[in-house]
Amino acid sequence: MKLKKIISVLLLTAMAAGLLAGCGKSDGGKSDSNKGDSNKGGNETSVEGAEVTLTVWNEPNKNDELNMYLQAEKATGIKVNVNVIPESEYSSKLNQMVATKDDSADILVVWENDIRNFAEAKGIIPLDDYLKNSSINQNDFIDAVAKLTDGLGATYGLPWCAATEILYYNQDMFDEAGIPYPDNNWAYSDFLAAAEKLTKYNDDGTTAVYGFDLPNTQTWWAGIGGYGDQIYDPATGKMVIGDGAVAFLEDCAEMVKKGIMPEPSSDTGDKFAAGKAAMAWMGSWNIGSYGGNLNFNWDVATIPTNKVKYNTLHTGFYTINANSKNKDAAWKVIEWLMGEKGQEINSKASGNPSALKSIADKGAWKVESATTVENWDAITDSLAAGVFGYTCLPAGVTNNAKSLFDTVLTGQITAQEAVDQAMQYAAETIGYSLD
Amino acid sequence: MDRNKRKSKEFKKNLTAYGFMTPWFIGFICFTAFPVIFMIYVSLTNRKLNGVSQFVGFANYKNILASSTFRNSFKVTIFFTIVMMIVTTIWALLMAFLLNYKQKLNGIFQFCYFIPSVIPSVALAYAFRTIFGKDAGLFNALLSGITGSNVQVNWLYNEHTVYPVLFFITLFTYNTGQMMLVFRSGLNDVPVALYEAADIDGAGFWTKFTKITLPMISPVILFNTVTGSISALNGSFALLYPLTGDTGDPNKMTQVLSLLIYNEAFSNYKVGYGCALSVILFLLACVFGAVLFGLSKKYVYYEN
Repeated sequence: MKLKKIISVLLLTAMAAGLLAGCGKSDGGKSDSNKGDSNKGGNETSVEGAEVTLTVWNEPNKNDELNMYLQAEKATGIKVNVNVIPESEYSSKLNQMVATKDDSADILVVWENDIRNFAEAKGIIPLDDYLKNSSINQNDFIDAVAKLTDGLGATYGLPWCAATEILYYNQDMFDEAGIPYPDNNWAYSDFLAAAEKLTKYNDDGTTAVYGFDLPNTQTWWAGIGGYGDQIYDPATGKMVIGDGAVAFLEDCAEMVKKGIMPEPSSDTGDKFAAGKAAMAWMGSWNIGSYGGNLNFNWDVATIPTNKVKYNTLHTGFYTINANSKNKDAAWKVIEWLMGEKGQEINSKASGNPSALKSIADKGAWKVESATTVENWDAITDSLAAGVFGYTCLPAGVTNNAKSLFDTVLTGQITAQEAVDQAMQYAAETIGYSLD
Repeated sequence: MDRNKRKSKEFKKNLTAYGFMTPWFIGFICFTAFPVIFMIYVSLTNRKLNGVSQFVGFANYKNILASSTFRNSFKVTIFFTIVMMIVTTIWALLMAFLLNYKQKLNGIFQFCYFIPSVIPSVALAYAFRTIFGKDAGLFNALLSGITGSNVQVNWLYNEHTVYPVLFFITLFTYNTGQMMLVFRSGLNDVPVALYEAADIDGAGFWTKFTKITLPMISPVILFNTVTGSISALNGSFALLYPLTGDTGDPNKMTQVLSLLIYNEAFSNYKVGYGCALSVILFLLACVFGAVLFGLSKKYVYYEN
């Protein structure tokens, strides 16, 4: 009996101690990393030897020379820890960090659809005071960036690059079919005709090589925008698709029917890289990952021009966590990353141009390992035509629309039904009336 | 005086029991009761994932009831739960019945059947996603080998095949394996004397099964259907998310409420709305439980 009492008292004590320990305030093991913190918005304090953590969704380059964080560390003397969060969960994790006032990261690389919300939630700080004493020229940013952050009342983030969407094509297949290579003025109708001609069939009628790979999550919107739909209205925050989306979906459904384009499936892979599709629309960052790794000759061009020349720009913004204890050190690192050397390394590693025009013009984004690529103008032309479109909408809205588009291709609903349902869901989610 | 002494003695005696119960109670309050109450509170706000929040009363519930996405998801959830409950219960009972026959290598059969059940649902789902792929799927390759033609069925994206494939996959989940073990122990508890008496009376297999086995294991069936249906309601997310995505492809045919909750809270960042959906899912689980217990009064046989 006595033993039971002792055990129960011990259990209670352990529970209470556990609870108290859990409720205790933690410094996150960062007590030594606050050197040079002043949170004054200036950069006159010494931050050498400080330590900052940066969150991002892609792994740093394995080549030390192309690892911009490692190089930033060497240049600034500030230890840079990189916290990689998988892309599929990236935005939601950052939102949770802002909600819980998490201070484990000092620099947050924030997506287009989050920067406004984070600024409004006071999860990130204005950088204007830092920028006053900085060499970063904000007037040098491409116009789309300035438009995207209009109305925030301050500069909350600096774009780490400006990625575009382009057409990738297999030169060997074009040669075999006797079709001239696409250029940056290629018309959409020429593209459709070429896709049909490039498709190869097996004896049983199934497709051996597709003329065009299925648009991915990003490039569905390039086709819809090309038909003239606005997609995202920055003034109202609404999704705006209609006749353009219906027309592009009908084109795609027709291509699937003829076997020119694969239908969506649970094992959809990169058919272009596998040599199973002659053309694909993808992000410019694939140039860096393809490099010299493909077993055929390939090049790039802008997305074919339909009613308008359209592609979506992609970026992330370097921001400083409002709860960071190392704001000055974080700024120093951001300043270096946004400088000429930092931007050059980023471009070389990813194939994405800098959002700073003067740096982008120097062409460091021409990935050296992509030896067959000659049409580098495709990137600059795409950059000029690019807009921040669907990336400003909630991911759930665009994922839902993409799922409906897939359903059109499998023949379950019509293009008009898919567009109506996508618009309805966007209105429900974002909170506006369709009337 | 005596009475007070007795009370004090009784309290001291009970104190030990309370002491042992306290850790569980603290856990229950911290990890069950508080989250449920907090969820109900958040469902009355327009809380976003970044923490911005305002009290909106029942606006989320009104929006939910007006949403065609919710109505579809609600129907899919009920359909998926009922069919999954029936399919997995029958399959688990069948397997338990077969394994109860005294034969060689019974342990190995049981081990082989139970092994997939202990694989995490997400890993299991990814394995089946590979098996039922269109272009590089193992099942299509097998069918192509057998038929000599290039079979390219889009199993998980076709409206006619997606449900059969999903319900087939549910047969290998942890829940079904656990049900099988519970059924096995239930079947072992049926008195042999009843079967012997039935044999003397000339009863056949079917008569013995329906008149003896089923009534005798009916409490076990009730237990399995209740746990199975609640598991289908709450746990289907881990299986469906990797198989058909958070949008419940194709054409939202597999968008159960747990997927919709995830989508609203973590893709659209509408935590308040997601919590309101969670409250509805919670109520739905209560209704399922109540209906099953209500039916049990009529159909479940308790020996004592």
